[in-house]
Amino acid sequence: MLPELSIERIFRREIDSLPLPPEGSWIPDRHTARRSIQLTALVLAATVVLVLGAVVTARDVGDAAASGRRVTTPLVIIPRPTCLRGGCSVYRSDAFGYGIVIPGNWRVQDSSRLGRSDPSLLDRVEFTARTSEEWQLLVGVRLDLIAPWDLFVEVHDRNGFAASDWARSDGCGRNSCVVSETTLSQSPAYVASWAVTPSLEMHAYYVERGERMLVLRYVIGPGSEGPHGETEQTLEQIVGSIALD
Amino acid sequence: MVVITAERWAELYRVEFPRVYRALLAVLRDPDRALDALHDAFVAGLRRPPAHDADLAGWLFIVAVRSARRGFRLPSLPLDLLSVKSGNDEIEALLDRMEVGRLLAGLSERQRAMVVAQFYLGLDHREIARHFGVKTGTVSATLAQAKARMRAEVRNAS
Repeated sequence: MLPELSIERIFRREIDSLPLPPEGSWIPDRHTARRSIQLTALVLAATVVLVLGAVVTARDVGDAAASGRRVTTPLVIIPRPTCLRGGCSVYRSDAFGYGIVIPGNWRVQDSSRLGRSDPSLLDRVEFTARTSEEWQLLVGVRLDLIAPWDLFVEVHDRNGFAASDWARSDGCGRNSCVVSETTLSQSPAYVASWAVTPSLEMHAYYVERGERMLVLRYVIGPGSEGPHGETEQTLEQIVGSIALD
Repeated sequence: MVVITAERWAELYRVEFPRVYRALLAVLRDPDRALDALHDAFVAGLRRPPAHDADLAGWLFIVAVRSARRGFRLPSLPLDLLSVKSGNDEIEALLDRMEVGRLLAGLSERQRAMVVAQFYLGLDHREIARHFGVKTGTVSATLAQAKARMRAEVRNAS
């Protein structure tokens, strides 16, 4: 039988030797509550914009169908089967020339917390399956973080580098990774995958769009499920739904 | 019932932080997850503080463990860490060098949580059962399995 008293002593001695993080990080940011309110407001505003956009788009399409006039959108977005089963939303970025279909329970999450420290970054949109409350619980106290299982669509100035260069230098430069070719919306693309922790992997897709680089990325725990039963297949289907003008 | 104010809560949390954080590190083996989970427990306490401040370490520990184990509570990562190895490898290596770390490594996360709650935080079976929301018998069985595994690990090592 294990000598439990000794074990308790060993546990205390050894676990007490584990390093602590800097004391400044012990308590979540003092302004979390206030920022949460601001974020909630931003989420609500983004949702309103999205809903209004969807209504306007639906009205455009309906009017066009009735009158026979050409729909102004250059994007053709074909909903995936899973989308048709569960309802879906369409996000369009006319400024950056893409559209993407997200499942009905997904939404746009404000990502301004991540800042724009990368000078090549022109735009970033975050999509999440988490409810606002779940998202706040996950990220609300550390606003500089990204959330696994969320999808990020970024537009960068590609600075003359090809998609293959981006795929091999973004995360692969410092980590072992797998790079392969694929197509997105009938455009050649590269996909790179690399481990960011022992249990999490980053997957990133790179597509050249003129002088810009479109990057779709997500972090997942392979073999596990994300929020509300999301799987890697869900994310792959969203990525595959992208339409480029 | 004693009402815990936000200031008092922060004060109590600070006192318990080192012990609870280290306990979480031993269970989760990931400093980011441990810190995130403990932050969640702090926020949970701000929203709905425990009824009293006795056994606060146990309360924080269990709330944090639950938070870390929830499906949608996968760890989140700083963007600038996404392309570099974090300090997790160092913690893993440190834990693997430790006798306790090696013993815990062979257990499931749930077993680790209960073992650490008992041997490090000093909770008894009844308290662990209450915090985890399971029967005392379940705690006893889980701990018995964990101890058997640790014994086997000790035997294999010697």
